[in-house]
Amino acid sequence: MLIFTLRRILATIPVMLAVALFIFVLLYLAPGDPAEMIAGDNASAAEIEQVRELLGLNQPFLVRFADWTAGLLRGDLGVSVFSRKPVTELILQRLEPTFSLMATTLIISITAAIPMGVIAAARAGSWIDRAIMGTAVLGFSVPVFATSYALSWIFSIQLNWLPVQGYQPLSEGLWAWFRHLIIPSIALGSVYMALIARITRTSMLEVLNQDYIRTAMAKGQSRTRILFEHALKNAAVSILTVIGLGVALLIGGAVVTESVFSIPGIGRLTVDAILQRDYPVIQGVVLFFSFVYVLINLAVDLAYRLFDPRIRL
Amino acid sequence: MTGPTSLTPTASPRADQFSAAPVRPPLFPDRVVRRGLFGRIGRDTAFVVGIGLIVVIVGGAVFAPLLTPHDPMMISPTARLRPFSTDHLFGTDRLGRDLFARVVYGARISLFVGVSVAFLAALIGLFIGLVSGYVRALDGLIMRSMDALMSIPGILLAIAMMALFGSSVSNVIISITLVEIPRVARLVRGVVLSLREQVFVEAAVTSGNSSSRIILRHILPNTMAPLIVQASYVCASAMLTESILSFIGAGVPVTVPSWGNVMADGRALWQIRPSMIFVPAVALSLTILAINLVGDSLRDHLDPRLNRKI
Repeated sequence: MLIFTLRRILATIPVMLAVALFIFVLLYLAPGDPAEMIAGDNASAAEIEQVRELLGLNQPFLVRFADWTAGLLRGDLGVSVFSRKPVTELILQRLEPTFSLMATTLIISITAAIPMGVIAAARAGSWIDRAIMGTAVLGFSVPVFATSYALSWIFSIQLNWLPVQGYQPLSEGLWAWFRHLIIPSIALGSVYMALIARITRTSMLEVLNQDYIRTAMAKGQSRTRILFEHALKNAAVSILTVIGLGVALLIGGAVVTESVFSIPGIGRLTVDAILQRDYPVIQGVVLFFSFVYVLINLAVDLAYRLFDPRIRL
Repeated sequence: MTGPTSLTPTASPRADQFSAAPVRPPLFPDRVVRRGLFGRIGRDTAFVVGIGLIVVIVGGAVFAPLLTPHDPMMISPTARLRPFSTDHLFGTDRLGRDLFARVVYGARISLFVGVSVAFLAALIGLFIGLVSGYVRALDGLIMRSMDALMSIPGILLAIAMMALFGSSVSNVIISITLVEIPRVARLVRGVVLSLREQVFVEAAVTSGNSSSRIILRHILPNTMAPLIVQASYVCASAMLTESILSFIGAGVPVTVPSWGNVMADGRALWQIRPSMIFVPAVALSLTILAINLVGDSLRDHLDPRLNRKI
């Protein structure tokens, strides 16, 4: 188990390095001279040259990449052109709202979608199956900001049940925190829920055809127990895979959801950075989210073993 | 189809009486109603509804000038925020532009982006997938780079590219294509790998066909069905990504009335005038729903390899 884990962790290193190289090249090609931007508007040519020297911007490509990677390993993502603050600091400041939004979205989506998929599979072909799968197709088709505004319009503006926008940190109390995250999480999670419900139904249908399910039925096990214990556990590996891969959707959606609901998270940071053409911040955020994505999928790979001890890598 | 079959001597009852040899049943018995792909798929409600919607939306985009007398870009300060009326079907926005015209003309941009990305990503992804699946020496390198590209969440990759290139319709197409290529390439590679093991490909190899002929004549045609299905999903996903990019200000230039831009415009006043966001949102959702419906039924009918039930 330890060797398996270590090997799997080592396998992510080349992927992360390739991601880092790709994003570095993007910034390297970015228009504008970073030395000029950092030196400021009134800097003379000599001052710009000095900044360039100081930051090593006149070094060859590979040396710069090596320096930058070394900085990355120390957690140094460079300095924002706009606010002159370290990018790492900007990201850390905004970590809580984004992680709160992601966590509530994950919990709400998974707890809603898996039973939906199981019921649809158990009643395959019935009206309830069609209704659930129809909702799923709809979930795929409505863009996240449309869902955001629609839910917000119904529950915040018309019914006045929940806050229209904003964020309360967890330190302000659990309910205040959660209240502000309900609509954003459901809106953000709609595509994700559709995805999980569909894959749950598919893999459940496969499992329900197996002999051991018939055996369990013959033994007189209750339907619920067969579905949720025997079948779901064996369908879990493909569901987990999709849960991991779907996080990419959540990350992309978080950028939108945070700006719709004015949540001061990393997504907002991204949008602000785009509007200000703040390349180091864009680079840092993309890199950060990519690493989070790779790590989540690493965790998913490791979790396979919990459900299927036969899996080796 | 039935004509020539029934005229052949073996199928004719009269010939049976006189022929000494045992009668073989006709290869294509004419009483069985045979439905081609279009016959079967035409009976699929989801497909019909999807195609119907697409025809309406594409028709609206093509004949936009006939549907509305208004110019989608014309600013008229005196006609700001007009309510729904017969002249302005969905009212006007805060700059006095006609919302109906903007949504109808917006279909042109969104569809153009979706179809271009689907076409380009399918073409490039097909090429990469064929090479990767057939030339084993390159497979590792190509697939690891595709993996790296796929470990950057799609929208963020597109955002980074857009920040680099600057906003224009063609840059949006390039950025989203780059995001979608690895997904197509992986699919094609998978299909090629399974085709390589098939007997007919082995037969083609042993009978001395050149690699290029095997790829073009034996492998390529068999990748078409899954590729078309995938292209429809790429089209839907590209339209969604375009709207998100435009919505957060990293998409097509703000002056271009794409659905994403129209919604971005509507944000400022959406609490008073929700229609500014909901009208383009419904248009976009219906288009994507239609493409997804068509894609799903194409998958069910064209491609038994992909799971029917998903």
